[in-house]
Amino acid sequence: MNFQIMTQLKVAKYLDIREARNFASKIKSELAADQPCVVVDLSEVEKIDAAALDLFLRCILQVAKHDGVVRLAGLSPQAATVLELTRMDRIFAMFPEGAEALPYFEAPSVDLPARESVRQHSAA
Amino acid sequence: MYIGAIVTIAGGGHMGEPKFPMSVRTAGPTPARNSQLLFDTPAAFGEVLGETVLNRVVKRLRASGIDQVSVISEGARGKVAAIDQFVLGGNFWSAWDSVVSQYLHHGIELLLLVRLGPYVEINVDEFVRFHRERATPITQAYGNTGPLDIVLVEADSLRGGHTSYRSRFSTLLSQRARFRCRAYVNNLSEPEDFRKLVNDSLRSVCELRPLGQEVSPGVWLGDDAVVDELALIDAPAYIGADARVGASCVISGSSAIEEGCEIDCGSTIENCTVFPGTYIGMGLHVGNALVSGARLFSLTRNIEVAFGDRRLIANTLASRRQITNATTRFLRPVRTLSTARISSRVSKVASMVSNRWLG
Repeated sequence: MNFQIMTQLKVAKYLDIREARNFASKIKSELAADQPCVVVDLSEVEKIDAAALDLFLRCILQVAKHDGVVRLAGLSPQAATVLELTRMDRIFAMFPEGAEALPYFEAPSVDLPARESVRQHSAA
Repeated sequence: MYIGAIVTIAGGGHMGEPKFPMSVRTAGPTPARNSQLLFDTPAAFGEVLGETVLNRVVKRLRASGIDQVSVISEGARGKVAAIDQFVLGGNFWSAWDSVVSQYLHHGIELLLLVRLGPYVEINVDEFVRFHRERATPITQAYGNTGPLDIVLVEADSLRGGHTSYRSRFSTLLSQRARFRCRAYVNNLSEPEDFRKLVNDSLRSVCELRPLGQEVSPGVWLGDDAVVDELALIDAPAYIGADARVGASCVISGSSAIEEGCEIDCGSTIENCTVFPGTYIGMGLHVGNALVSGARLFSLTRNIEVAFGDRRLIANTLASRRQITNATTRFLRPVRTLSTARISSRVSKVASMVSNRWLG
């Protein structure tokens, strides 16, 4: 599979249902392409609510249905804490920076970085 | 011997400034700092295994035979049992002077001054004996890391003179004897210290005992605590009075669920202290943290996260109100309207309620 970075989406400070809907409409436009590849930048996120997480997860499933990939990058400590709290950290590959996710799109067979190193980075 | 104690609790806004005469130190850590605030409340009011640190200190003083106990708080208010007076000091020093004056009028022979801050399991009898043997007007307790905010003063040395008690006390400080305290000390200066205190208590490292009944080795339950039979409690652990732990929950890593908390089904609590009246939503994993109301302090990342969503982490009351509202809204449409007219939001809440209540 040849993955290309198609979109890098930045999520606002408060990921509530409205922001999640914005995100969903942006993702929808990416679904037209084959194997959409999306890097979601969560560096500014400070608050996330459960409804937003639900919609966020559905969007990501939609991308997966189109053989696409979603990577989370630049997690703020708050976002990392909420993802860990809701156990969503187990289903995403997470990267300290958006650029660091690139090699894993181009060569998906490369082993993903250990989740612990990402946690430590976000803690720092 | 007639002994009176004054327990002082530094306030929130100006905890960075030395306020208490004992803060005039030659060595050791700085006195109370902002970090001693735990979720904006002085750590002394923080609940540890069923009872606040302040209550435990006061009880300890009473058990040591202290006749009079007064508490002076600079800003925060809190419930405390077995004290003679609680002074909420707008002006700390005038409140302090007035309490000392009352004690002297009552004929107190020795004055024990304790500042919270640190939690210290000092042996008061030993401390008094040491003080008497040294025959000094003032004795300060010292721990391994430096001076502790615990001082014994001869009441006679404060009597007489025209200056304030505060300035008389300050002049005495240079004559102080040093009592080497080998007891358990927890500075309670960082959130980790609070976890350490819980952990040490549950593992019997210190004398602080959980308030409740030890139902199996290392597992304490408070009055009317309800633990689902499908929940797993990994010792040591503490479940406070009126707390509820739902089905398939796992409580591990010396965690403490304080009074009136509710841990919803399927959640994992590992190495955490959940402060009174906190609701933890369904299927969450809370690890290495302190949780109070809608706020979580992650010890791993050293940050506080506030939650606006009552389905994740909230006050128990707020969460119960939401469920009551949801039930009302859920039941009404079913009786009067067709299911097609139930809005997606209501149906979402309804599904949550049915999951929680109807299995």
